Amino acid sequence: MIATTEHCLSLDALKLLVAGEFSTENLESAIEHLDQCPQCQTSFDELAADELETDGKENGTHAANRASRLQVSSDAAESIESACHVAIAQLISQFPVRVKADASLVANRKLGPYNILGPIGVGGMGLVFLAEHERLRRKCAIKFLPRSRVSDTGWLARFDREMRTVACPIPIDTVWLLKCSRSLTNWPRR
Amino acid sequence: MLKPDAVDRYGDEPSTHPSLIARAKAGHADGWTMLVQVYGPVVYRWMRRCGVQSADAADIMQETFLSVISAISRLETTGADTSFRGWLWTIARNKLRDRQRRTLAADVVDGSEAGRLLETHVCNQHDDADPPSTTEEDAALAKSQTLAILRSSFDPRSWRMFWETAVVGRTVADVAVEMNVSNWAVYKAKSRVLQRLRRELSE
Repeated sequence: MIATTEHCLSLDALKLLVAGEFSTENLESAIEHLDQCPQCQTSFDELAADELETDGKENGTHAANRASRLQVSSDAAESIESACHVAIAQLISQFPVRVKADASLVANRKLGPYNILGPIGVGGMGLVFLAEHERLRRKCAIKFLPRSRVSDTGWLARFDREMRTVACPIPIDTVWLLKCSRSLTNWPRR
Repeated sequence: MLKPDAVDRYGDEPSTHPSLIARAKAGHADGWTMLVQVYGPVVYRWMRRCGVQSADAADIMQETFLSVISAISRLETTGADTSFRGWLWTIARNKLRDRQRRTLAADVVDGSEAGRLLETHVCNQHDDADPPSTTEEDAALAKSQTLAILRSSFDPRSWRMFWETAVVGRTVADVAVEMNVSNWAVYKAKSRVLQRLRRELSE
């Protein structure tokens, strides 16, 4: 059952929540509901604590035991030399380079009435391309979220906020947002 | 998917979980980040145990993973002797040999008999099929890295709420009182951490 601000969670849903088995995509909405719903929190507390603890432990024991087995002496982690840490940080910072490889798949393609001319830039949010309306010959920038972020509600919300901000009427030296769409989950095809 | 015998060589090694390799092969940034963070120290230690100085070991580790980025999409994990650890060692060992050859070429006059003998010695020196460490040692290091990564992704209080209840076994009410929060706050933290652990360790 998906929790909303109007509908309270069922007992089974609460048990799943405690056991860490709640569906990932609905977890945050369920938590948000309980944060705002004294009735659900009361129900939560009124349920037999042992029943919830037992069910939660049985279902969560495997993951928790895995975590406890991973608990090794802190010396193992601290023994990693600083040169290694620095090199790892440099490597991770280079990963957006891989995103650039995807740019070649998008350039010279068509998206609705827009011809994709080429990449403008790569950032943490994704790729930005220069495009031109095929009839109006008006140039614009089109931003794509990374494929891996499409199902991430947090990233989509951030993307939406950025779009709404850009869409507000502001001074002449700011870009104008023309359109924002989410219908590109299967585009471009490899 | 790694063959069962390949996974068994790691015991319950979480870093070679097929989901981690699959995420890395798919080009997911989080998968790559975790792969490097978990196995980077393993490769670095291999190099140090081969007698390489720290700065060079760090360079070879970077070169190894830059090759991994390009090659992992072609990694075949269905062969009888295939394991991610062995594949990673092969790449790292080759990077070490390449660097040794480059260093040697800069110091020895080309064509000399002494130079050829020395180059042969250097190449054979790192001809082992297995890394300079045991599977158990590498698994332990990777495990500690995995836990550190997971722990750092949560705020300390949330992690503590999870650890004290789910691992140590204290009651929620007890931890809630000690940390001056509601029972729900403890359950919420525990749920989030369990959810993440289940995804990272149990897939």
